[in-house]
Amino acid sequence: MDLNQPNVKRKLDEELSGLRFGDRQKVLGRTHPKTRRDRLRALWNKELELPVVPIGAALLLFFTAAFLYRAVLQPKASLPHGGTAFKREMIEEGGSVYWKDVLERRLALDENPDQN
Amino acid sequence: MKIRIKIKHLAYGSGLLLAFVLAVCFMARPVQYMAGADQAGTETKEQVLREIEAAGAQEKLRLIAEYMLKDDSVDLSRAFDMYIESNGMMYGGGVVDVARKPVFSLGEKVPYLERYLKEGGSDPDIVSAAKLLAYYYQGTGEPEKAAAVLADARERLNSSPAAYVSDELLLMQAKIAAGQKQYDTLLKLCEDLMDGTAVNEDILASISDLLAQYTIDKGAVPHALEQLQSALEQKISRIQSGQAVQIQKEKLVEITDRLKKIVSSRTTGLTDVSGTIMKAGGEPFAYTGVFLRREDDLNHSMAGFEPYQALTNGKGEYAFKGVVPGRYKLFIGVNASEVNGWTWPEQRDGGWIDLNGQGAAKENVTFQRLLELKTPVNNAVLKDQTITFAWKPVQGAAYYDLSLGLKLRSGSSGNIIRQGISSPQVQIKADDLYYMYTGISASSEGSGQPALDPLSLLGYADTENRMSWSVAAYDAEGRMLTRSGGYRLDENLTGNLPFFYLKERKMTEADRTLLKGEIEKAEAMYRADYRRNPDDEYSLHMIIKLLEGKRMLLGAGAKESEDELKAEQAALLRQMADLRPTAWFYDLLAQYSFEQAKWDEYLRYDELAAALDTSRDTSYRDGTRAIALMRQGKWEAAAASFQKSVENDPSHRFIGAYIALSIAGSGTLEKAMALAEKFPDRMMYNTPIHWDELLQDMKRESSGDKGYFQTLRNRAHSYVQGKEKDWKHSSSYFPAMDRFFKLLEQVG
Repeated sequence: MDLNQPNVKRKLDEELSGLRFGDRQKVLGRTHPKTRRDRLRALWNKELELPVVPIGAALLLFFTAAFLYRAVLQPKASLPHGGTAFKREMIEEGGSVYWKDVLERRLALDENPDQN
Repeated sequence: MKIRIKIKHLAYGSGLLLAFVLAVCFMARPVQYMAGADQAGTETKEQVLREIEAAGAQEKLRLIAEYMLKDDSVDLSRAFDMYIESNGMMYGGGVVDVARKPVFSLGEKVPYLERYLKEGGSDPDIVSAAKLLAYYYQGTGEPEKAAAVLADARERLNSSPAAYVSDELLLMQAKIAAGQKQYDTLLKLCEDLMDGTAVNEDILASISDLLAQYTIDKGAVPHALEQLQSALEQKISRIQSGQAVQIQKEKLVEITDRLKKIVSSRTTGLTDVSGTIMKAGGEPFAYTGVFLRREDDLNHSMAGFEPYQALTNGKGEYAFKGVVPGRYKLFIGVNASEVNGWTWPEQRDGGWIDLNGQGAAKENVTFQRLLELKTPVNNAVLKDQTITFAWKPVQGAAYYDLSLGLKLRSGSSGNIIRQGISSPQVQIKADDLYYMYTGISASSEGSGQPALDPLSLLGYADTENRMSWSVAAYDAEGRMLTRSGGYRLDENLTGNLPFFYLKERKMTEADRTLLKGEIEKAEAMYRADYRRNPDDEYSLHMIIKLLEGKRMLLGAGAKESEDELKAEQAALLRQMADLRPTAWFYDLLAQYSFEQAKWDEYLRYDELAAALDTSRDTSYRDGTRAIALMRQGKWEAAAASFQKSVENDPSHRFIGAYIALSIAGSGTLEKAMALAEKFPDRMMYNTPIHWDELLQDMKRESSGDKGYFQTLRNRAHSYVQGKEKDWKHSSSYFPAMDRFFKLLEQVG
């Protein structure tokens, strides 16, 4: 369709004669933001072009790591919370009875007092 | 490939993801929290009790079962962390199940158990509730109430599929009836028990114990016992072969043997054993397990079928009614936290309780606070020639004994270093420790040949081995007041740790080679060192120790090599005694002369050893000297020395030889029997020799045989004179006499 043809131009002017463009300021605000609000809005609607492969890989890595942390580390940390009882070993040394874990910890500390 | 995205959409997406992650975390958290709450001690007793109070009827019962019944607490032989006695066993096992749920004492449980029994259904937990209540009422002196509780629970169970567990209730009722001497009830209950379809060995053992009590008290064998005996015989004969059932069979045979012995011995008189278990200062061991264990049961861990098991009441009191004659030891069952910082002082008589039908026996136990050690402690490194051991004085102590300990490759070894110390500190020369005999041990790793443990050979001369020490305080009568060894079962380990390193000397090349386990090479090096320097007493003493170790590994059947080793050792010992006279070296020389029957030489070395020996206890020396005197025909002096030995030695290890001497002298059994009864042999912990019973058997065996005493006297003479072939020669006519002389080989 050729808008320069007199018939078409006339018909379009006729049909659009009732319409008035009143948001000139808004459009200018968006295209040439001057106020802080306009700048913020521009930033909010800014389009980014992101490379899919590196970001996808990073996300995959993150979720795998998070899953592994939960699956491997967390259950270990919460192991002593499981069950109604836990096993603890007693030993007799130098004529007394001790919890093995406590004695070993303390003796290691006595031998290397710097390691606190 | 790229995507285009607005920042706001990225922000919305991230927010959504964050919300999701947080939601997951918070959803999971409550689960974890609940798990932690009920197990990691975050939930207190008060919280549990409040929870129970607030719950609805059904939930209430579930919570009571959950917190107060669903554990081992009903089976006293498994309910506690440790089963301990004053001498020997300080703890049972090693690995302990530490409860995470709040632990309620029996006293605290009682109102809830009563409610459970009243309102609960007919599940097996009702048995647990009833048994615990029965223990409680026995402790409070209300056996009727205990019996009623059990009967009530049993009635409830009768109409339920869990009826099979009611045997336990029946058995406990029977035990209460026996304690009350309500024998009609006892017989009725035993018959009910025997009628049960699946009576296991443990129940049979328990019934036989109860009926044995009846037999002894009444002096008559009840019909039920005869029935039981024939049932047992049948059961034994039905068991064919196979290892699994062999154990079962042995157990049944043990029961019948014990019964036969009781029925045939016609002993009478039961004893009520009672007492209190306390801590010094008056705090009772409330609701603690008390076990009067038979001598026969000491060689296995605590078992449910052992007849005398009870709980103390809130005041720490316990009682066993109608205990049959025999030898017993008292054990208690406790949880780790109850004994932390305390010790149960050793008893002079080894803690044996002999019951011979006396009406009552009192056995009180008082735990004492641990003796506090001052120096050297906490892995201190000692480099001075003199070591000062110091500890906090104990009120009322007349003297102290100091012991040292060593870690070995497998296990540990210990020595009493100094006895009768009158002040709370003592100085020991490091040098003296190096020449101390620490016992030589050997171990075989895997299936290999046993090899000497270098740590045991080096003893206190090892500058890299951690040593420990302990002190015990005694009153003027020789009763132990307290000691440093005991229970240190919390995070701060209750004070100073009794460990130190002795680094006064420098280890030689030979020492280092020995530590590497190259025993032969090390021996060659010690020998080379000694050859280079004939004053090198250290190397000389290591050669003597290595020869001692070699002799130990030889075993039986290598007499020639043993004689060679001994001769070399004796020659070296004489040189050693010149360089550094110690009691141990003279003792070894005395032993060598003893074996050669060179009595004058023996006596000289023995006297030299005695002069250097700092130990208070001379019972072993007196005993061996008595045997030497006996061999020389000096019977009177021998008897006096034996007497001195057995009077000072709680284990009466030489009593067998003393009895033989008495038989050789008198030709009769009367005096020997009196000795056997007065000084029971407690040398072997698990399997002591019962000389008194053996002499009784011999007396029975002798009746009607005129030649018996002549044979006996002749053999006793041969024993006294050391004519091995003659006294070991068995007659086969007199099995009890043969057994007597066979067991004499173990004396000494």
